[in-house]
Amino acid sequence: MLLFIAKRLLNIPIMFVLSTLLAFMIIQAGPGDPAQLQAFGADRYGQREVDRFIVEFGLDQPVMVQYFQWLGRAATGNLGRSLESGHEVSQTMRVPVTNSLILAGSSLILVFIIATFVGVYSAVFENSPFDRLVSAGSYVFLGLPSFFLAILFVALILELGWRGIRIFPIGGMTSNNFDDLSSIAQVADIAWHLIAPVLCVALSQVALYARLLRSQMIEFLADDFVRTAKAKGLSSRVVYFKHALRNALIPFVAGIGGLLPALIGGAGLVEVVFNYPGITGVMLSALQVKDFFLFTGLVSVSILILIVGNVIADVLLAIVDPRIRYQ
Amino acid sequence: MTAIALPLVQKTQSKSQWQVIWEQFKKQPQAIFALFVLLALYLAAFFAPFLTPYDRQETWVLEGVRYQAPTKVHFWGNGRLQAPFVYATTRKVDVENFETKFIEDTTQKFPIRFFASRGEPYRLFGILETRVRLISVENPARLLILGSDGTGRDIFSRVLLGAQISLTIGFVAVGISFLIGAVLGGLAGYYGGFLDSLLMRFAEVIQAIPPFFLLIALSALIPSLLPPEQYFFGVIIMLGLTSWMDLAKAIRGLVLSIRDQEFIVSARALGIPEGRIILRHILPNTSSYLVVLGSITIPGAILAETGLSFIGRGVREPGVSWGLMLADITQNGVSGLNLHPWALAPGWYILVTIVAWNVLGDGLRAAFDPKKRR
Repeated sequence: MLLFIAKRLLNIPIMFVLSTLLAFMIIQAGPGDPAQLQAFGADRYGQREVDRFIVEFGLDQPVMVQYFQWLGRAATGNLGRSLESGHEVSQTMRVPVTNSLILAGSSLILVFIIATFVGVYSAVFENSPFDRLVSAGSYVFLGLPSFFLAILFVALILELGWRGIRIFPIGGMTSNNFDDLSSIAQVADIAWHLIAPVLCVALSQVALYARLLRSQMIEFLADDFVRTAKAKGLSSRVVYFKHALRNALIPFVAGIGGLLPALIGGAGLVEVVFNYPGITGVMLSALQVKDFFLFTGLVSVSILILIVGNVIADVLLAIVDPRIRYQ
Repeated sequence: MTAIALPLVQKTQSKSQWQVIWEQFKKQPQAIFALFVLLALYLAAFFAPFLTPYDRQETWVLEGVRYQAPTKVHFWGNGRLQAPFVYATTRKVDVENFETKFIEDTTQKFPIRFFASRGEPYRLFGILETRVRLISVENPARLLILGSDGTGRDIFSRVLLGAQISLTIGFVAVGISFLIGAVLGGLAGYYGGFLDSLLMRFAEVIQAIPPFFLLIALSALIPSLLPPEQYFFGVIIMLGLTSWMDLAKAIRGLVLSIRDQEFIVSARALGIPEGRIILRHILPNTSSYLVVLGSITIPGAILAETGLSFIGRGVREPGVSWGLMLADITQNGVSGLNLHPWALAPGWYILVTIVAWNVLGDGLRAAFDPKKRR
């Protein structure tokens, strides 16, 4: 087991280097292209500033050389300088990355909780009105793009506001008077702003995972060991949640690795609608102004999050499923 | 020797695989319904220039039209039933909330014209140049079936014209990713060994980049000054290039399991060239699985396009797509969104399309799955 974890951990840097190399080459061909940067940047940042920037970071050298220079600097925590603001990229990135992680993390927890309960109950009460409602609802939520769901949320909040009912704030992450609040009130304020975007991000994913869990549960509920457990006189709650669910969760846990990119991506569009200060907004504006290092930094951090998330999912899977043996 | 009397055998025509599948598919009313919904949507997209009263960029913004409510079509006038007609509207600003309202001017009546010529000429089926449109009204009346957007354009016309892009993008992008997936997955599965691990690691490396951000990065490669049609083509290629990995893995697994079966071994023993074995003997055996996989992948590609266009990295003005239309809502400010809910129409079209594709995909999966046969 430890060896397995060590192996997976060793995989992280290899995957990271290869994926960032690929991303770097794509970005180099686009916003990082020195010719483009000069043509575009001269107006915006001034010819001298752009020239200095290109020389400072060796942007006129071959892609491979540039990449390994970038990687070498990245290893020491230096991700380059933002062309737009002049600040260190690692500084500029900190807040949006944290915000996006908060959003994706809260959504992940919510997906897990809702999908577990909905999946278990619709499997236990198969073909009941509840089950039918869930399966119809899951089709709808699978078909709703996350950003359209977000727009619908905004419309609903506005309509309620029009009638004098204020439920959630519409945009941003904090209220205007955020700085004057006590630290507890600040946390509450952020949580308040988070509810609507988290719901939007989670709901479209819940449908997928509740369906997966339901079909797994139905299979296991018909199994002999469940019948044995029932015959032993265990309460149905114990049978469902300890015996059947433990088995049904296995593919579900394996799927969390796939959930993470979906959450980061889906969250991105919701971030845009709710004006949430996360990765996507910064990334889009960085692309707009050809802020090469900021964009590269954001992409590579998201790659790192994804790879680490996948490894965590693998390790979790090994813990949950005792049948898996790792040499 | 006299002929041996054979027992009377009832001649039964054995069914081909596709016949069995079609029979299974027909037993699922929801899947049939989804198929018809999709047919209707794709036909509407195909005949969009004929079905729509206006062109994609035709606007009344200079006359102050902004989020005009859907036009009411009347059948009752002068105390009797009449051919459908609409009234011209006059603009009025509500002093309470500063929303622009459009009041019907009942003195100006305009009948809806059928098959009348109007607007710019277009090519029906790509050949027949014509200006005939199914429905239209004369100026100054406006036939806004789903209302107008924030830039004073007819939403109904834009939804149908946008469908041409939003609906085909799924097909073509998935076609490209199938091509790449079939070739790379086929090679990896058939030859195995080093090539296999190389190709599969390559797929994993691409998948380690969050797909949405990969698309954003790739979108920067399309020159932004391209005309909308070519730009759209670039978006399709981009979507195809980023969605072949799962397909390649699935095809590799299938090929791996088919590769060592007897009929392939005998084909090899006959000296049939390997390219031909892969193309003619192995890949056709994956076809039923590919149909199912395709029906699952297409809605994903459609959603990806709408998402990209929504953040301005996909289809661009003056082109039109459903995602771009939703972007128009947020760009014009969401503050009065509840006052003009008709602007959300493209979102409902996306919902119906994706749900229909998903239901169809589930139906196909059930029809192809021998375990689920009834």
